[in-house]
Amino acid sequence: MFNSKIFIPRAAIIENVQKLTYDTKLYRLKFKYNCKCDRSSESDYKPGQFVQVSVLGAGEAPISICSSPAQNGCFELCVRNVGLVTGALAALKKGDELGIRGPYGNSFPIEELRGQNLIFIAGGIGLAPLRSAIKYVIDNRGDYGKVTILYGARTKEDIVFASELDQWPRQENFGVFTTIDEPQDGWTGNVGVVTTLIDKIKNQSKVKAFVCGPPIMIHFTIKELLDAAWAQQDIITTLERHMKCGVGKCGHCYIGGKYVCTDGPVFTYAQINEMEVEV
Amino acid sequence: MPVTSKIEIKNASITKDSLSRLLKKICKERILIAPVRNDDLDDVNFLPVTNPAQICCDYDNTTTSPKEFFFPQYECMFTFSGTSHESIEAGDDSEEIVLFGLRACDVKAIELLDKFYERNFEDNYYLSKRQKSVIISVACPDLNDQCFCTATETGPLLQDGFDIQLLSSVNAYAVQIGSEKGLQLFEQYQYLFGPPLELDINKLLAQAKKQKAKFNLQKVYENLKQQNVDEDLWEDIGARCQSCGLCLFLCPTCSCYSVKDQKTPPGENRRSRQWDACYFSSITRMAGGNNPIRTNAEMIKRKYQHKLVQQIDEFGTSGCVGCGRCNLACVGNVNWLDNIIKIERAT
Repeated sequence: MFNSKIFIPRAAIIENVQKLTYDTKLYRLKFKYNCKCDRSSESDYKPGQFVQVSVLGAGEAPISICSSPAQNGCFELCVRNVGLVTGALAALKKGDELGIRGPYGNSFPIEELRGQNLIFIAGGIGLAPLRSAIKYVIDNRGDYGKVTILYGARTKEDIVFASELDQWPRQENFGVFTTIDEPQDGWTGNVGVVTTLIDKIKNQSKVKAFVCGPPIMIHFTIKELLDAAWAQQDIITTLERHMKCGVGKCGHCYIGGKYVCTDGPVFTYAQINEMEVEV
Repeated sequence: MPVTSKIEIKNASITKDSLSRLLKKICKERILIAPVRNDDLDDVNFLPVTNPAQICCDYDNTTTSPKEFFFPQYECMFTFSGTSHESIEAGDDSEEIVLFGLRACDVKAIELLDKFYERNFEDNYYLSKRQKSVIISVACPDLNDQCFCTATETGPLLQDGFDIQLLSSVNAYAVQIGSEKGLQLFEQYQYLFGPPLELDINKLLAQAKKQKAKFNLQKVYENLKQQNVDEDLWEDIGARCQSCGLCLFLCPTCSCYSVKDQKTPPGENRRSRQWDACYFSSITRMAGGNNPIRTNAEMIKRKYQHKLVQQIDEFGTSGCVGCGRCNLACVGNVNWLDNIIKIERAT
């Protein structure tokens, strides 16, 4: 754990803020001090885990870690300004302080998939949690096979991590396909929702597919994958919930016999079906 | 540190006069919480007492549940000034308390909450209060009309899981001591206790079990787990439910909460938690407006599944302890017990 007391956030400094879109920023964080107690380092997390970000006076919000644990001395959060806490975060600058609790939740089964091909399908800011896994794969490139990334955004202005989406295809055996919902001036790439890219992976139905994005995107992506012969347990997604505590106490994320914050947020579609959660 | 450690049950007795003396002594040393009757409202609630004469001994159960002494309706988690997290300390307002007069169902509810707050991550706000508390429970003489602890296997008297349990007899109580904490309190005031009564507790337990259970918990569990319940039931309850949350606030095992930062003048800001309820749409609504719980029926079903399936799966005991408080409180005429019976009869 980054924090040694269950509900007390650990002070972290914003080392850098990068504007990704008109409403989304990437924060690079480092803990304010590193005492020799039981608190762990900035890279002690797994792809798919999240933290509770605290801004005193505004509150806390659950945010996925979007960096790779192979990156030492800092970690990154990608935050869209949509609510009270994320609004307060948007006002913070380089050098400002915020609080961190975590890391919480399970993680993507990325370790057990060594040696295999992988598919990542993201919509909008849903690329943030998957970026942690993608970067982890790049950091351990020899351990994984072919990687295919399908990414959809509403408009070209909504694309997050645009420069990385441009750079990733330079990696060996990496396919990246990006699309926007409607045609736009100056856009020469694919047009249509992300499910229109599923043709690109149709012959890979035995490959685990990681799906992250807004609920409607997850709904239709899973439907298309099932139609294209993916097995339920080969579709891996994350459930987003209004978590107040992150430690299985506040009850906000309880659904279908599970606490999303401690049992999830990563679930296979087979598990989600069993929980009777509609996605 | 566990909040309580069980011991092999030790038997004793206490006369009604000596019990009064015991409670008087406890009042002087610790905070004593006990049932007190409000004559104007004609109800009984747990309140701090300074004189045992205030204690009401003739009651079925209290209107509110005793969970508030460990999980308060409002609790400051820490205070802060400025924007830095660096010097924040966790608050701890736990005090030595003795709770007297809890019914078996409420003791079982607290036992369930203990397991809940201990599992995965230990919630020290709750656990520190529990560690400093001793509970003297009083078994119910009879089952009343509103409650159904024999169906949920949580009363009217307990086989284990109590600190000290009293069983009423003529002019005296049979006393059972079931935990380290109970034993410490007993030993401190041993001179007030007498030898075990000629009371066959096993016979009493057997008699209690014979009281007709209002439903078969196992059948209810199976029908919920196997999806045998007609969706119309959830629709019907959802239509009646006014989402006031009262049943959930009164429930001795409900523990949902929300967290808020408050800037309270002059300069002392707090992060606090307050009771929340799964019947409020705000509990699942996310920034941006998406709410994964879309209908009242889903909301209702989630609660029944949580208490009667998930908590049985996780803790081995029902999340409903059969106290019946929710039924007395409902303004929409939703009767939890009747609905459980409907679930039982679904197949």
